[in-house]
Amino acid sequence: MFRSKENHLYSSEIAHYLGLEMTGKNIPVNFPCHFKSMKENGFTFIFPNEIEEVKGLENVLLFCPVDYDTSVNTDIAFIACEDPKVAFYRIVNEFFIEQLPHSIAESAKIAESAKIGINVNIGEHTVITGDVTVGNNTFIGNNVTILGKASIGSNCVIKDNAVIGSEGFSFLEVGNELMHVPQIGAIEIGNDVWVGSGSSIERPSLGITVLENGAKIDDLAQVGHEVRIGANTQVAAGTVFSGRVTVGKDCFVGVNVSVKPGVSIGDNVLVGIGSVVTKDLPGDAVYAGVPARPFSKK
Amino acid sequence: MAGLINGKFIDKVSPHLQRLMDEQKDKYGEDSPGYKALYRQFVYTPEEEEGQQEENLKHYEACVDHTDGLPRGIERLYRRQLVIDLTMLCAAHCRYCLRANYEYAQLSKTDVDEIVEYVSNEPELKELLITGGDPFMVPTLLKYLISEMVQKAPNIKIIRIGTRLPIHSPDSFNTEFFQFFNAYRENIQFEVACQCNHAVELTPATENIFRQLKKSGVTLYAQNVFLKGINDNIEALTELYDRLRYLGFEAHYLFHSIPMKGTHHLRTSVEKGLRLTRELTSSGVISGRAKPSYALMTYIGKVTLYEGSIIKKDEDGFLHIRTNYRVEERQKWNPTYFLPENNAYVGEDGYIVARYLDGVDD
Repeated sequence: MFRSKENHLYSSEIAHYLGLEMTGKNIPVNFPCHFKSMKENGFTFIFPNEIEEVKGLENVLLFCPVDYDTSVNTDIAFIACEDPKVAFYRIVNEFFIEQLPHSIAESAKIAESAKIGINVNIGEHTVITGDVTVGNNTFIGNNVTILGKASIGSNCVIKDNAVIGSEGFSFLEVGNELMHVPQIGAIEIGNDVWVGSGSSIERPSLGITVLENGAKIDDLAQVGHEVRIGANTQVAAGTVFSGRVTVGKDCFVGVNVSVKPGVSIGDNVLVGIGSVVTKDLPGDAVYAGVPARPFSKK
Repeated sequence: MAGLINGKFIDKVSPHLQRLMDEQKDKYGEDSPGYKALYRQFVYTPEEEEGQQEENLKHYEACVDHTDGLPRGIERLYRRQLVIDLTMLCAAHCRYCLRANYEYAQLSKTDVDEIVEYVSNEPELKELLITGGDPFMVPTLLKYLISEMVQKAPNIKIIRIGTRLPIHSPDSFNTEFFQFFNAYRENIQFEVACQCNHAVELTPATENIFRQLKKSGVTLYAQNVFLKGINDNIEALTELYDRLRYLGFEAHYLFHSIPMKGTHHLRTSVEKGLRLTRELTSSGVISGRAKPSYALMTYIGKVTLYEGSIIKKDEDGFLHIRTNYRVEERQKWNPTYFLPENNAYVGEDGYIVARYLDGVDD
């Protein structure tokens, strides 16, 4: 989705862009680097304990923590900040990458009923059928399947092989048979949402499955029918939400978590790796284990 | 256009311009027009410090006092048009920059959200001029601004973007904009203004960007500056306007160099520019289609010069320029507008007369 580009800025200009102070030498900055392989005119972020390695550097810019002793090297530029990593990536995002242009692949099959916004990318062999709307600037990768009724907001990223609107897994025992409950509900995906590669967002029988604004779902995750994932909640790879689960906003659900049908997770919750969530988890806390238990207050 | 960094307008020549300058010097020598055009535009010389009458730190006075409550980074000098200064960053620093002495300012995403909200509630606004600094220096923020406007402020029909990045540093220009403008062209008419002062600036890499922009549905227009020792002769102007026309540029303004502090050595007399723009077309040198309007940026705004625009030159070396602005008219959409008294007065016919410091020919 991106490629790197060189740029030519002074470290003082970078500091001004961020509204921060620079100390040391004002140097030209041309590319981001990994700390282990710094080159002249590169820039990166460092941790408080990285002092010895810093002494040998020349003509580089380092984002460092606020209490870092910048007198260890006066031949380089320092920008002290609360979160050096965040500052570093803000600069990379604005100045040192180029987005690959969006396009709609010829091999994509898009139903006439679909309403596709402006500047949307639709990759090779992607299939969009039924009543689907896609907002502006959204990136849809290769081989994605979107089955309406579904709405996807703007600035979303739907990675390769994701399935949105897969028929929900819902059967009723009727005598000796399992009767399928037809899934005729809808899917609502807000703005700035990520859906990872190979992840599936299921269509519900009657209600709606919702990913609120800013929710991020990693690869190979399963979001069952009628699930609601709150705003800015992150869901790591391999996690499975059974039907009708609700997750609040600003949560982080670790890798390979399983959540029982109908369970409700509050806002600002962290669920540890591999947990099995069998009952409701109140907000502002950390849970882990099988079954998941309170770990500490957040 | 770029502001002060720690109180100083730093010397900034991009690697691309440096290479181009070296190449011109090696091939044609230090006195060649191409080398001089680049050197005089971009390289700091002590001439900037020499005693001189030019002392402006800003190129005009907004003369309004209702900035309270308005979003940061905007200026509404005209009824239907809003100016947005997205950043003060540039890839190179033109030594005669209008904004060399502005405080460095940078808008955030939140500022952009506030501007979009303001614009969506002002249906009279039809046009945005995004400038700075160089808006293409902050591509992510620029794209965010445009897509939010399209989504939330359908009253905006035209977006103009002022840039010199294709000339300063073509490698730094994000090529994703070609496809981006193409995708949005049905909703917004994009116009890119580029200042190009000498044909030497039009390298193949630079020309390629302009061609791609043109292909993406962008209208290109040139706002150039008339500068002593750079383009103040008929040969340089002819080649410049020919080359720009081949690239599909519309000639817009040729500005007389504004009396900014440190620019004395780059300023000709106003009369010289008037004579040369007249010569460009009236003697059949270039087509009238390619002729720029010769203009001044006075303290009260831009004034295009016509025969009779110059009323007189006073003993202090100031020209008195008749404008087409009236105070009452400005106050209609800008109720707190007032006249900058030292630099303008109302003439007998009710139009504002601006005082403008003339330059000196050698």
